[in-house]
Amino acid sequence: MKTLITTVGLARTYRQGSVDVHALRGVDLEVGEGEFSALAGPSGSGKTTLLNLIGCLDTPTSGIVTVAGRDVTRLGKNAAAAFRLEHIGFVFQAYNLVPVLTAFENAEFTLMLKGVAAAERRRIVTPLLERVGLGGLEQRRPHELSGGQQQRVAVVRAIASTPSIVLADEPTANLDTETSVGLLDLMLDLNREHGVTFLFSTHDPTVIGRARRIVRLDSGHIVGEERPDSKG
Amino acid sequence: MGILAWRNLWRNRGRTLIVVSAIALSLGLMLVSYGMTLDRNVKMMQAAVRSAGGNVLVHADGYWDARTSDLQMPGGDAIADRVAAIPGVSGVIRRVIISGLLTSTHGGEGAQIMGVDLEGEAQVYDFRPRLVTGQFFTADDETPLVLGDGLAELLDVEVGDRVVLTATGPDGEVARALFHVTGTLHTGVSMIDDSLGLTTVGAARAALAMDTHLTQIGVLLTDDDRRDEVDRAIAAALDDLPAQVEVLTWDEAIPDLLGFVEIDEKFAVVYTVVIGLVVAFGIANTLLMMVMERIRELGMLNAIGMGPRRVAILVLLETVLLAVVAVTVGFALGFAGHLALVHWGLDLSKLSGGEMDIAGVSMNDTIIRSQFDALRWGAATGVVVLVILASSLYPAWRAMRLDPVEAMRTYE
Repeated sequence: MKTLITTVGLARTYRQGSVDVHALRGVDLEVGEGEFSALAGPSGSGKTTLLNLIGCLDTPTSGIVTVAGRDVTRLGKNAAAAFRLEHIGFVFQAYNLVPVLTAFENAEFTLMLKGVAAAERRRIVTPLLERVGLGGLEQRRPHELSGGQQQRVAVVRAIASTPSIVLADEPTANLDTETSVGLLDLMLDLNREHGVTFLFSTHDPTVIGRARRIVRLDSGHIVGEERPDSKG
Repeated sequence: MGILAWRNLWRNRGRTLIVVSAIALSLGLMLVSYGMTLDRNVKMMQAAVRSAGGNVLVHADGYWDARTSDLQMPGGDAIADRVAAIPGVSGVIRRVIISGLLTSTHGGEGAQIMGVDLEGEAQVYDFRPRLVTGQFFTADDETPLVLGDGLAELLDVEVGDRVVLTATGPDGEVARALFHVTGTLHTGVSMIDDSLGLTTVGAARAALAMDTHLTQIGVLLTDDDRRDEVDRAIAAALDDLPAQVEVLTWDEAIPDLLGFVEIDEKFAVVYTVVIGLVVAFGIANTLLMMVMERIRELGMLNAIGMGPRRVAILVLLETVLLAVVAVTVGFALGFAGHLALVHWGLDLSKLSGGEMDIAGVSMNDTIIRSQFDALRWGAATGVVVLVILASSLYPAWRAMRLDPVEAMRTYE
């Protein structure tokens, strides 16, 4: 399996007033192409910080991050945004969608940013929205969709531009258990069908149970790793 | 991106409508104000030319300050003929003006008797429609006098009565002359109606035993903007006269009026700057609010690949759309106001109790309308657009500087 993400000695320290907060303390991690991995751990364990660093949203205090063969440790703001657009899809916990755009327009947004023609965007996005069960809801605005439906639109937006990896930070945190499991199953299906690599953070045991690889974090360290056989 | 910017603009419909209304009303009022100011200034210039008696005036030296009847130009008709031949002069008006005491059987009043040619006077002011009673001059009456109705009332005379004018002639001697009241007129300007009497040039000359004297030659020009040039040409042409003459442009004769117009122009600039500042702060505040309340969303957009430059472009695009809407509405309002004023006008005399007097010049046309000046309107609109765009630079810069992680943490 080809390695997609590598972090070496990754550390991130924040300054809060006069106190240094060590969010990550030397994390070494490799994620292979096509993996469906979860970063698990309690609040403050460093899951979001690790995702932000891999996603070029933040800069490490020390260490190196390589994504899709490129060292992204110290990219400038515009270069980082361009890299994210090309290689990384994001699904956030909340406020994922632009409220003034329809479900379809939100889903095609990254393609639009990449300059893909309208007809091509429609050809790509329409079957994906059908696939995630949102056929017929394309013209609805986010406030006309349920939380689960909004997250599915976010997932479509994340995978529509065929990124190298989709990073999802607590994607089910605002959803009920049934909807959470449904969203995870959908992501898992997309992983199987399209080979999309997913790396998501969660502290929900139900969600963790769906992952094929679980990396456990605590106090900024990787404290364990599991590859449940049943998910193979 | 355009669709997103347009919808973002109307995300808070009430706020956007208030801002658009504020800009549009400001621009509309500014344009209407420009149109009215231009029309009023043109009317004031016309009134000044009328009040002075021409674009350029020729008198005996010192007359304009003294205004006494002894200062007359001998050989006035020949001087007028020479002036009429100068390039840029479209006509000359000959006047004999006598300041003196007019006496009736009921008493005396100070008066200004003007010997005029009614046809010639009509080129600056037509007295004929102002006749209230009686008639103007007839061939069989050698001493006709048409009095302002106020003066007639003060003297308690009516058509057919006789009055006596007492004044100093060019020889320094006091002379008396009898006139017949043939009519009364009403100009609506009390200062004139209470002091003016009109007669023929010949009768006025005869009253002070003058032959071809004139007090004033009102010179009319083909183009008022050339008045200084023609003024110099007249002065040069009359340089060889035995008695010195003074040649004044209307703005030299009535300097206060030009000063008023210049102050008015400067006030218009101050008004534009104030409006510009109000618009700038209003827009900057609104756009900043539009950015600050979307920090998390803008952070999310940045995170999914819409880089800082594009985020800034989005904010600028929203501003451009806001400017287009506001300026279009504002221009339409301004143009509608302009058309309404052209059609109905605004009668300033109703605000000022019937008469308008600016810098000593009586406005005979007190209905202010509007005049379209494409250059000024275009410049004002352009300035407003620039102000709107400039006021968006700081909000756009703030949006561009957003750190996506910090932004998404906001309001979490």
